[in-house]
Amino acid sequence: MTRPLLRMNPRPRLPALALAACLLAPALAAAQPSTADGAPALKARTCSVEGLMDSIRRGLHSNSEAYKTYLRTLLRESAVKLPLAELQAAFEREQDPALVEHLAAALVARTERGLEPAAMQAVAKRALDDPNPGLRAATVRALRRTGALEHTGDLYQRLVRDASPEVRMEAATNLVEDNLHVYGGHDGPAADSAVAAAATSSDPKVTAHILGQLMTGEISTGSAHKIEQLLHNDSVEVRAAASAALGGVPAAEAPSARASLVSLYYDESDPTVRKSILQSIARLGYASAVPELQRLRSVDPSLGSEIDSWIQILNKNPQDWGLILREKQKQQAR
Amino acid sequence: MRKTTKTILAALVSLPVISATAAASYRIGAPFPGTVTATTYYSSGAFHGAVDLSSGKCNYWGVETGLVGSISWNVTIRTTGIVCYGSGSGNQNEVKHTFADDHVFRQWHFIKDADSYDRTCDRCQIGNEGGTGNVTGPHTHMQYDRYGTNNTSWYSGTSKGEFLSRGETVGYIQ
Repeated sequence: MTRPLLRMNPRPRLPALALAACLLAPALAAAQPSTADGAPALKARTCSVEGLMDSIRRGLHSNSEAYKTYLRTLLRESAVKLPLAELQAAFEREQDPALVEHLAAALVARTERGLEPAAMQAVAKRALDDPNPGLRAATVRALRRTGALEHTGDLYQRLVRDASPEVRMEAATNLVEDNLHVYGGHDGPAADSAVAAAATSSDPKVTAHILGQLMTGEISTGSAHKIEQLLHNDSVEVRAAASAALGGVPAAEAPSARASLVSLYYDESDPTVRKSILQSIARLGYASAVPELQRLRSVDPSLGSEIDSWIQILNKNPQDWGLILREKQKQQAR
Repeated sequence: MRKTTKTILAALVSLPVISATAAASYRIGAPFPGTVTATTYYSSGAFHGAVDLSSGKCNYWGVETGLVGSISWNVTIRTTGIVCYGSGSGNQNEVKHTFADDHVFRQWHFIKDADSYDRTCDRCQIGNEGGTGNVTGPHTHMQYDRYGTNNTSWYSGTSKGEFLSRGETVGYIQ
């Protein structure tokens, strides 16, 4: 397929990036040998998936990260003007992980720009089925910071059980970043999907990665209970992350979360987990958590100063968790 | 030959969509082709704290969400029907995204159509240009605020009277 983009898109308002795709090739060709009068010898090129991929192949050897980002964006922005069949065929036959990621991102961009959902589903399929874990991981990365959670069913619950640790961790990163950057941490179903994946995974690093960074302010009762169950996980990092996640649950889930955290504090022996529990108890109760913290002071004398620090801050009655956390960090730095 | 080279370079330079800054923040593109009719202050001197964009037409097809990138959008319809010159204060149709730090990016006044529903997308159609709410004519109001205070820094490169084509940069946020 070498038809020029201009022909494929005869509408007068040609998007700037599609135009750029057409213009980029001659611009690069300007680096070719000069003509007799000293002007650069421009070489006629057409715009196509292959042409763009050639540019990206060359660009991958560049030392400039900005240039690589430019090329990635160029392909993604041009994707809506490229023929789906050609793009999909290029994606399916490509075996270089970097190029697979670029092509997958272009397919995903089509769905995100309102074109066919099948484009993203083709990417999801390869993320699950490709025999090469490096290619699966690259494909998963291409789904990052998109609405994939809404279009791909139980994809992430399956990806966090992938045989490859790299794929599992890429999936976990997607869940964290999608929740934060696409949904602003304010979307219950997106957060519930992340909790479900965290609970499904048997890789403690994956579960801890998700729960340790997830905003849980909109999760359902079912998700809150799943996190409470993870408080009893064998892994210290999972217990610490689950403790942290429970600190941000909705008000309706707070009493149950608080009771679970206090119960765990008595049984827990790891100081990292105990510190995480103290922080979440403080977060769930603000000033009202002070009596509870005072009762916990006798459980582990080595954490007495930690508890005193929380009590001192909460007794000032600040009303914003960000301020409380900042004050705590200041105390730790002293 | 030189003219061709100049044309190529001019076209590449004019591509705000792929500027390096886009990687570090969210770019806001114009939701339709139009002229900027107000920014921080109205002509009267009253505070506005947002960008108004108007094509001069009512029910003009295709108001897009301005944020470049996949984002979840929440649509609130307070006025149905084709309204071009106001339906009362507080009755504007709104599409908004709330960020993790509680900043909100909003677009107001569009006319409801089949595309006016909550979804996650990248520059999606959300309605037609209109005048729902407290307005004197059809336009789109783009506002970035937190806890009731408008941020006026994000559109510093955009001036009243400037014409913006669809997708052309209005500003950057975060």
